[in-house]
Amino acid sequence: MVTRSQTDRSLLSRIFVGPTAGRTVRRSIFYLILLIVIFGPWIVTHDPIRPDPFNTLAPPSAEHWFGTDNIGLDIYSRVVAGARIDFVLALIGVLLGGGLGSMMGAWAAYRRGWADTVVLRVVEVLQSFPVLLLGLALFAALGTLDLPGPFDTGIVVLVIAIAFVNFPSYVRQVRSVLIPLTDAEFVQAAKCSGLGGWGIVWKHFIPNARGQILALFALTCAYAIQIIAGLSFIGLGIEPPNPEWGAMIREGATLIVQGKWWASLFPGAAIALSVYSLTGFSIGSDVPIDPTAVSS
Amino acid sequence: MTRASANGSLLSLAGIEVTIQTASGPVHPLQGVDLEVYPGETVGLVGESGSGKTMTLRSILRLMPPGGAITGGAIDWNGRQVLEMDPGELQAYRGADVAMIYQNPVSALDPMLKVGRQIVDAYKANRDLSDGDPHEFARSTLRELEFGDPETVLRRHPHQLSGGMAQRVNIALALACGPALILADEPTTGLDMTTQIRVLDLLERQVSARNAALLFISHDLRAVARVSRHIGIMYAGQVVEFGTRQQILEEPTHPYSRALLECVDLRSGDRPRSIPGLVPRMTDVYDLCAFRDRCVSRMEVCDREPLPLHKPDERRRLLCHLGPGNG
Repeated sequence: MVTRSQTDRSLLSRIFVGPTAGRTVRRSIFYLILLIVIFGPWIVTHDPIRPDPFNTLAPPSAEHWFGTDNIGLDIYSRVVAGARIDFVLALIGVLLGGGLGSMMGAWAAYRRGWADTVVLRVVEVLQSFPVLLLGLALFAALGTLDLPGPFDTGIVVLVIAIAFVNFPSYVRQVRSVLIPLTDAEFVQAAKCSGLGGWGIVWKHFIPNARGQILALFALTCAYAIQIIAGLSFIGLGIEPPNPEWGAMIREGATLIVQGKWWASLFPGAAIALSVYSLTGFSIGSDVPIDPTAVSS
Repeated sequence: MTRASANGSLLSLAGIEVTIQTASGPVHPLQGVDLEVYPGETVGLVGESGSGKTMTLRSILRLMPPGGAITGGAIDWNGRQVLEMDPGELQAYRGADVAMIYQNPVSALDPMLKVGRQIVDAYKANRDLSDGDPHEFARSTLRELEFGDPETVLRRHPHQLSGGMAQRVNIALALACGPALILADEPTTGLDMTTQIRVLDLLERQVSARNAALLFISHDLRAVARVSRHIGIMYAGQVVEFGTRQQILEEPTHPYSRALLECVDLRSGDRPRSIPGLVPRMTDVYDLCAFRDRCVSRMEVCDREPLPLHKPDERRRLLCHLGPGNG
């Protein structure tokens, strides 16, 4: 009666090998970026925020691999350092919005009735806002807040914006996956064994949606990186000279017409590669953790 | 069991009525169920599909299907009114007092969680820390349920178990709650014949070893007779006859009980028989006997007067115009 499932595959192959060759490539790119995020400070060639005023707008060379920008900052070092900022902020924002969204979605699926309706309507209102408009509104509302200690207002608002924007998709996705569980026998059995509402949501509902949550997690991280870059591109969020990909593109954008393509191209490529690699986890990421998925 | 109801029973159902609102109008699956279970005893309920067996168990735990509600009667648990419990009391009552075993053993387990985790969770939700290590409980209980290698089973997911294994895991889950009463909803129906007997015997042995009571329902009179000291016969949302195993098997009084026994009596050498007529629709509420259209002993009074309740001895119940002496 014991069936071999995908869970029997070695951990290494489950992490690296995607359902298709293309996804395996994407995942490999992602792990490369992950290494850059982790070891960033040790693989930069220059200080990412100290300009070299005597060497501005230098094209890519052996000294400056990706060239320098208009005030002489090393673009390679800034792209590497920016990976950390973009990925960490995306991660925090998505964990926040995704965590809350998953709990809300599971709770709505468990309760049904009016609670479900209220949650859905709130989510619809949130989703009806264009993303950048929501970001702008949040900055307008919270941008003047004076936050204590290490909290930078721009960064905090950016994280809140990411959480806000991704929250609805988790609610909807998790809710729709879990709706069939409302009357499932094992949920009744859990009630019979004396588990309360939140106990069932936490111990049974969330685990039954974890494949979808993980797939959505990869997708929304990619989305979050685009949001960070997009908001920074229009001047919100991360302030220069901090290395951030979207802000770097903006600074380099005016230079493209002068033939100085490198200041925008490399951060742009970094965003594109990050988003591309993250989507390699979206579809099929539920397979390695679904114990009932039988390998062919 | 500090408190007890007046007559010493553990659980007592009096006139339980259930109504389910459906798109095509109300359905009345229970129309006045009376039932008593005493501490440590095994009671079996037999009836055809749709007679209200499962709904009776669900009403004991107040787990109604969507649109369903208990619309009449009272449930007494150790002197406490189950229908008046607030959500917190109800949550404490479910599991720790009354646990349930389901008909389909695999779908009663969470497909995403390992067996061990589910048993441990049930244990933790219902017991104090002083009751011992939940993992040790899971191991020893699985061993008592005749798993040769409990450690391996605890690490399995439900889909990796056979039906018989999964049902034994469900028994362990119910035992983990430490209840005084276990409800079993046709626990062996989905299993093959030899597995059925083994699981039944294990269930009965484990329940009696823990001095718990068992309320067992099945459409299979032989399965019920194997484990139950008392047997109730259900028809159209009522317990029409109740008595000891001997009384029901050897001197059934209600014409439906007799017909049911004849259906399964293989000693007669005839082909298994069926009862002519159809199970009544539960969209109607029956003021008169619901069985009279199929009854061989139908009398003129049956079409005129509501059913009288006969109590020939302390436990025995009979809902029929035929008195107890006419068996």
